[in-house]
Amino acid sequence: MTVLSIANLKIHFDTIDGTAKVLDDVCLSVNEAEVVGLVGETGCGKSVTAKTILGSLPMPPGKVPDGKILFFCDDLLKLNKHDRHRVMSEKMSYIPQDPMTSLNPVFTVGEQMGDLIRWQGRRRVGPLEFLGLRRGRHNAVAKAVKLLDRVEIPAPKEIVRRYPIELSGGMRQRVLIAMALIGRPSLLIADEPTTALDVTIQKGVLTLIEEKVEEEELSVLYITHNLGVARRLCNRVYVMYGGAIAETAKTKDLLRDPIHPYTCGLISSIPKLTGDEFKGIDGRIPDYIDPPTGCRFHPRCPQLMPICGQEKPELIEVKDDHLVACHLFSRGGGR
Amino acid sequence: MNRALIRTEGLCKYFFRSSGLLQRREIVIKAADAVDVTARTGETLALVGESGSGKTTLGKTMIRIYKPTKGKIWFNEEDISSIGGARLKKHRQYMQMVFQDPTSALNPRKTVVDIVGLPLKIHQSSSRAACRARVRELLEMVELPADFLYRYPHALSGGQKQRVGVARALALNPLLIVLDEPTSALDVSVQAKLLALLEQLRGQFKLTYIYISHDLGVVRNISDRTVVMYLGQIMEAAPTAELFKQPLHPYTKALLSAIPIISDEEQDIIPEEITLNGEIPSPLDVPPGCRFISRCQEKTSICKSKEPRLIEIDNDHYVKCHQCFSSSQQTPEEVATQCP
Repeated sequence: MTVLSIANLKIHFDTIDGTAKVLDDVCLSVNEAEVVGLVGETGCGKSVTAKTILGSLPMPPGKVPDGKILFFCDDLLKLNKHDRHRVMSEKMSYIPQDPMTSLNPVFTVGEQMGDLIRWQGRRRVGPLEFLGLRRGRHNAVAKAVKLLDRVEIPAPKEIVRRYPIELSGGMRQRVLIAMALIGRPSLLIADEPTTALDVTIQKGVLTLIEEKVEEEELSVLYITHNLGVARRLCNRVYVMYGGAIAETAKTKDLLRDPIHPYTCGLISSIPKLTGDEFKGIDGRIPDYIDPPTGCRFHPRCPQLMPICGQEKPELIEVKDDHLVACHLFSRGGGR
Repeated sequence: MNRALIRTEGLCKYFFRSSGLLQRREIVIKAADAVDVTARTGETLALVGESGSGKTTLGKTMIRIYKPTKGKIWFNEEDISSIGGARLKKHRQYMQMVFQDPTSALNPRKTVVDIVGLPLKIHQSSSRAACRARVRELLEMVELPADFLYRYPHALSGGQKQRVGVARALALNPLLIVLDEPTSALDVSVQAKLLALLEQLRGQFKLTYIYISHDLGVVRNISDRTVVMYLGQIMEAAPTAELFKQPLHPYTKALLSAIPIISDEEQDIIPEEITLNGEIPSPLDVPPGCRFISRCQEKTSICKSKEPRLIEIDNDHYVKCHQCFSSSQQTPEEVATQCP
């Protein structure tokens, strides 16, 4: 069953210099109990995609000229604020990128988690609740302790009384994961949760996410720029470039046998432990106000053809579950 | 083996806090604690470790950005650990640094020509025209177009900013450049290009690099020797190929096994899964005995009571761990201690 399905999503931003056409026909889907990676470099639109799904993209300046985001059976873009809040608070949650700034520095961990536990899924606060007469704080804090225990934080009773500043980066990220799991979501969106951490700590956090995914049968959209992390965690990977999906396949297939010239370049740019040669990709990411015509990768592509500058390639299946948007493989292409 | 360009002997850098009525200074953090390290002419020496292990402090102290608390630094067989004034200024020409965050390392109110030309103005009192000509030359070396001369840093991309930082470090024809995670803010495709450039410049100008990094994949590919640091001390030092083939210290093994790799070939290289207990302890209270003890899985009673020494266990392979001696035939007493 498909949990999340995005079709032809376009996002534009109005700026002083003109309209930045950031997302250009993004299509992706996340199935039940599947971990899907969204991989790409800085400025390729990964986070914009996540924010649009979560509805946290400021509009204006952002706008959605076209596209659909189907979450179970609801089109999130068509729902009103109330319904959207209801659907999302029940079934979706989010792990943010930066554990340093995502917790409120003036409340203890227990207070923040307790608030979330008490008001989970509620839009309005009734008078009894406002006066604290219903569902005591102690109850919520006790639950917070239990949740912290589940994310393998040592001495959780101690930690709930601490302020975020007293915790290390890895601990804060674990607290955020615990908070994301409060409402027993079906879909978890993780936006580079381990980027700010050391490799040794990152490994612990990845193991934790792996465990939780299995325990809770979560579907995950995992955004990262690190293909190694994607290899460890994801069943399937979407590679994004210039606001569009370049290639998608099962993680193993994609890493072993990349097809799109951008994916090939990206993989060959990573310094390997075997000491094999690595080389980068010439040029830089496109300017979104005046994006390249046709395929957005064509100015940097080593296998440029005349058609690349004229026509936008479509995502087509070349092998089992292996889709690629490149003219080399479309009809009338090179191969 | 080339001769040593820079060598430290028991180098310490402590940070202090003043407290009480008399403002008495107390040692708070021992960021580098009795470090002996050598960079030989023409090589790339990598310093690796987690955040908080003191790699950057060591790098900065070695080139006298910080004044060392104790110990000696020999640069070209001259002790630079306590010099100052004109002599230090003369030596600074030979030792340059490229910083981690390219955005905050460049003055946002100056153009590229001013930024790259500043060392020339300070050290060689060049005229404006001479300065501009040299900057033009430097930009060409780092493969930036000449029309970048009058741009401000905000108009450059991350990779271009870091190239400007490299051009600035090259301005005075240095012998040694300390590169403090120059690519950690960059994407992999840009990183690969910058690393290739650094490698080319090293050959062209016979530079010596001290490369500070937490990315072991990069270190494997660009460095000749690697020093693994933990809480301000060296845990293991070896030629890079050797270190990756045969890591001895449990910390090095754990670091290697934590790297997210992308292919099966790499899987054969990294040691079997080792998970570290907890996180790096605060440098405010370093555990007694071996400092790695709180996270080590191979610890025994001796680790708690006695601090191991850094000992050469194989040709040019140094390690600071009690367990590595018991596995080899030699006892620590039989092996002469030398600095790596």
